[in-house]
Amino acid sequence: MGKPTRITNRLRELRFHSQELTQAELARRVGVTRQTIIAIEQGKYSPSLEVAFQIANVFRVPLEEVFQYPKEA
Amino acid sequence: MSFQEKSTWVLLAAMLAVYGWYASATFGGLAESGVPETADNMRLIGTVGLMIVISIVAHIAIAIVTRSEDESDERDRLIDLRGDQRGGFIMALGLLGTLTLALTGGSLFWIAHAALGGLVAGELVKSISKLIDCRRGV
Repeated sequence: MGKPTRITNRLRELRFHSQELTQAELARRVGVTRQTIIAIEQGKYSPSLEVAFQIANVFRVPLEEVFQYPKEA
Repeated sequence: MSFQEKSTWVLLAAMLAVYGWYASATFGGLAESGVPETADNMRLIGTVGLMIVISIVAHIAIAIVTRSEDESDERDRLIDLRGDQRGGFIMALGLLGTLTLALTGGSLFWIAHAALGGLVAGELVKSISKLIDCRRGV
């Protein structure tokens, strides 16, 4: 695997609470491929800031509600 | 499976088949017939040309079949970039090997095949890198 990311996300949960928004529909709205949405959900890809903000915009939530990064101790 | 991944799989299979055939046809009988002074130009150029044609046709065919259900995005470009970087490194090593052979008076046969080997190895590494990145993440 590529460098493991420490970024986690709540994409799956947010999609569920948005009338089961499909990965394909989310991908279409954000302008990326469905494979990219799948990779983000599985933590295999960390999107660019721009795509991260676009995803947050789709769900109308702040970025931190979609993506989280562990705080340093 | 994304367009990029399908395309890479097809190219990898085509590369293995075409260059595999070339290698067996060219190097298969060397032990008995000995190493010729020069490469068989027509076979070598024809093989590279055939590979280019297959690449273009396969790319177009897959694009039609998948109807570009998804266009490339930032992740695809990153995967491409990493593949190009790794493949380019191997190709550069092939170039250095070819240069070394030329400077040390190697036969034209081996110089030509070192160049081809570098090209093929670079392309193989690029394709394999892309497939691994597509599957395992970047």
